[in-house]
Amino acid sequence: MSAEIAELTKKEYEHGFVTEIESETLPPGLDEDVIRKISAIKGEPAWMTEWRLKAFSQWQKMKEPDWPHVNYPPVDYQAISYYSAPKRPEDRPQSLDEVDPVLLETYEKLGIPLHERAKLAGVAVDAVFDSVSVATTFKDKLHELGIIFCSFSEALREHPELVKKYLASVVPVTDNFFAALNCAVFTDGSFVYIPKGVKCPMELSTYFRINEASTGQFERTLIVADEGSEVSYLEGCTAPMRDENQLHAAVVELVALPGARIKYSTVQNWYPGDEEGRGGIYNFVTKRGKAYENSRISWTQVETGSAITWKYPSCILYGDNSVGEFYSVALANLRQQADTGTKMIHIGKNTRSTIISKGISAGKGQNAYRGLVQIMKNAEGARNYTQCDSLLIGDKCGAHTFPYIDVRNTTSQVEHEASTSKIAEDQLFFCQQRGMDMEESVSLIVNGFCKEVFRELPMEFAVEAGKLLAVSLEGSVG
Amino acid sequence: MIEVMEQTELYLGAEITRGPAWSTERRQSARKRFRELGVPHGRQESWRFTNPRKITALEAVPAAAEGVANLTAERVAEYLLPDTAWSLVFDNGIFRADLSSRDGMPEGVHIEPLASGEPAELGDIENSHAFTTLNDAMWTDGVSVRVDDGVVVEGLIQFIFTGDGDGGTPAVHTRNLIKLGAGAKLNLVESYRGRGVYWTNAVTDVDLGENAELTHFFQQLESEQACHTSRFRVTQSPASTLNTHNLLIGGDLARRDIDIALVGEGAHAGIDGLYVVHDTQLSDMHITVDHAVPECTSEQYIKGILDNKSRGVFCGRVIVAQDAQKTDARQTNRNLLLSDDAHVNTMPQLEIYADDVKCAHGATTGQLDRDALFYLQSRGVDEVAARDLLLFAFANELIDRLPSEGIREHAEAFLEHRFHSARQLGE
Repeated sequence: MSAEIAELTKKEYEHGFVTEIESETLPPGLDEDVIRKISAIKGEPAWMTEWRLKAFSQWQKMKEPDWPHVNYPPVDYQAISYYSAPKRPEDRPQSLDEVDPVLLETYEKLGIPLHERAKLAGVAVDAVFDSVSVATTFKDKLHELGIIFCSFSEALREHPELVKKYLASVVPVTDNFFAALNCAVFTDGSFVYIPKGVKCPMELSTYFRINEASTGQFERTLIVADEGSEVSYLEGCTAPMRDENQLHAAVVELVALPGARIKYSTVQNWYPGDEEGRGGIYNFVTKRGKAYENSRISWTQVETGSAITWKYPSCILYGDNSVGEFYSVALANLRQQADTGTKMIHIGKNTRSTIISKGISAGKGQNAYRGLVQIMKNAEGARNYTQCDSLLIGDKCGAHTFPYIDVRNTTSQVEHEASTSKIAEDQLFFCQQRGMDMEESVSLIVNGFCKEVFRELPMEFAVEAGKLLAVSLEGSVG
Repeated sequence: MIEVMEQTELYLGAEITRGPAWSTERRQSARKRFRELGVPHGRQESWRFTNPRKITALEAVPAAAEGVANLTAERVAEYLLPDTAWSLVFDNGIFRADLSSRDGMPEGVHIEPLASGEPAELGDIENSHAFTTLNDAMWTDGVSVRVDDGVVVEGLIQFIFTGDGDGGTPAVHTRNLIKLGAGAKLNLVESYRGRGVYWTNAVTDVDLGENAELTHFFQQLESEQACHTSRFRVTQSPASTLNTHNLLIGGDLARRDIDIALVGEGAHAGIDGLYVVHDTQLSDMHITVDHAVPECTSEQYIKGILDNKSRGVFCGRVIVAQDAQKTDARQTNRNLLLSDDAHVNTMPQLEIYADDVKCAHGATTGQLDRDALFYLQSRGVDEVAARDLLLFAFANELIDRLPSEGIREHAEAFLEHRFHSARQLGE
């Protein structure tokens, strides 16, 4: 069995290739001028430039967090280029046909036929290639319903009042080191606004792709669901093979106004580095949602990529009867390190939250769940259920659980459960005896382990997630 | 509030040199290390939820070397458990031979006060836990126990440590050393009692030989104005068994650190804990179980009952080393909140580097079951009695596991008293 494992573990990253498109790129380094320049390139209003500069000065006073259970060499923030855009920014393609064929080919290689997917699955795609939006589809259809789905820079131009109102209302500028950095230098991202009572007829989706070598990717996503509205948003990521570590510090903010529902799903498959831990993406992401009365925020994530993941999609259950959910599958293979989890802050009465976290460790991967459940004094009748399961494949990996539970009233109920196990020999034997090969057997068992999370994913994502896990597992069987 | 620097010196008591000559050198290096570490503060991760301000605010000074001699035989009689066969009594860190009874100790059991006994091997000084380092520098006395190979001690040995705030606020640094030879067996009780304002800072080190078995009952019934910090460090050889039962009821701020190192295959550690706090009390348990070798088992079962504005902190950590296959580690923390002002922080943590292991943890925080209350009331039990009954049932799970009938009865009586007084306050 071990020979097979060794062979399977060596499998190279499938999505490793570089698309050669000329890019307009700022030289490495970060100071006020760089920020002014980014702001100028984006054609931003003066208040935005000021806001960025303020964030920058705050960031300079902050310290990079050292509490996560991860190890990496210090990042030189002056060695990163903070802006890169595909050529012809003034001449952006207006429809899919106008999109650079090389770019479309890149998506093809990733197995994401943009137009086909858009048509067949009814998905509107706001494709982010490096830092500038290249194509936005189905806009008109959404426009009819009053839904705004556009790039962040466009939102700043067309809907500054909405952006101004909600930007940094959930994740304050000084929330953490990486969020402050993002505020200062973010180049683009997505903006979604769903008007009152509107149910978004299709899944909204953004595909991120880091391309230009040593370019930090700083995305900003803001989703506002007005009263009684509903939206499901998909985010998927994959990146080409690089030797140099690439930094990614995104910020995602969700605002669920009274009665609204937001479902945010992520499949993250960035380059995890090679066997020796060389290369790979550093993924330091801040994701948080604020839920008003009777609203619901649901985070679902499948994290299989990145050398280092530092990510805690959180819910502030601010309004009474609001609901927060977190479903996660995190895989750490090779020398990947993941420190991920969630925070559920119960402020309103009768707020409910569910956390289902499945961690899979293989190779020399280190996987940590870190979560906070906080029940404030006024959160009467609050309820939390947390389940963290870890699966260990191989004897050189690690699975860790660091839950923080903080309860301040008597009417709430908080439960936390965790277990750690490995794939049992008898399960493998059973599958193999029925004619499945080793790989299929493990894949089947792991998929079963993750089922509770996968069924929360939108249909098309669930398929992709299952495939992705199977591919990643090929290098992780034990 | 005095400055940190001054606080450090206050704790080290100018240039006090006390204790036996064999300990002097070690004390000096511990003093140096404590000065480097400084007094803990709330910004350190391990003190994040238990702000040590309550301890520093006492401005406790090293307990007088001559002792206070206030402790009477009547009070000792009250502190003795019904099953106790032998006892050693310390008042403000000073051994009281007159109140102790060591007659008829079986052959092969060597019990003596640490300060006046044979030179002992206390190991390296603590490098990171400042209050343990302070203990390294400042311990006045404690118990040294050595049980020879194969000696099984049937009777119960009780150590009584009292704090007395009469005439000043003493810092009492107690140091115990317990060594069980291969196949030895011992039943031990550590009782911490006292009155007034004082600070107990105790360290107990245990070394269990192959197949040795220690049953340990830790009874912390300090005065509610006092602060208590204690450290319990155990190293376990192959196939040894530790069962430690911790009852934490007293102290304005009480923190107990338990560190178990399972370094011999097939060792088992059972750690029970029950904290019952009210008013502004804070009770903290930090437990680390280090599974360093294969085939060890551990079980942590900690429960808490919190009333009024009290706080409970539980931080349990299980570490399973890369080669520690076939480990079975369990960890449970259950809390019952009786008041909206009570507050619980629980952090059940697992750090696992081996794949063939069974590890599970669970934590719950909740209130008394309304349905159960209703059921009892519908059967004619009044609300107050029903509440008492359910509280008692919650605690009883751990009381039941206590090592002897006498200890169980004693604990039951104490809890009954506590629930009763809480009820009267509530009325």
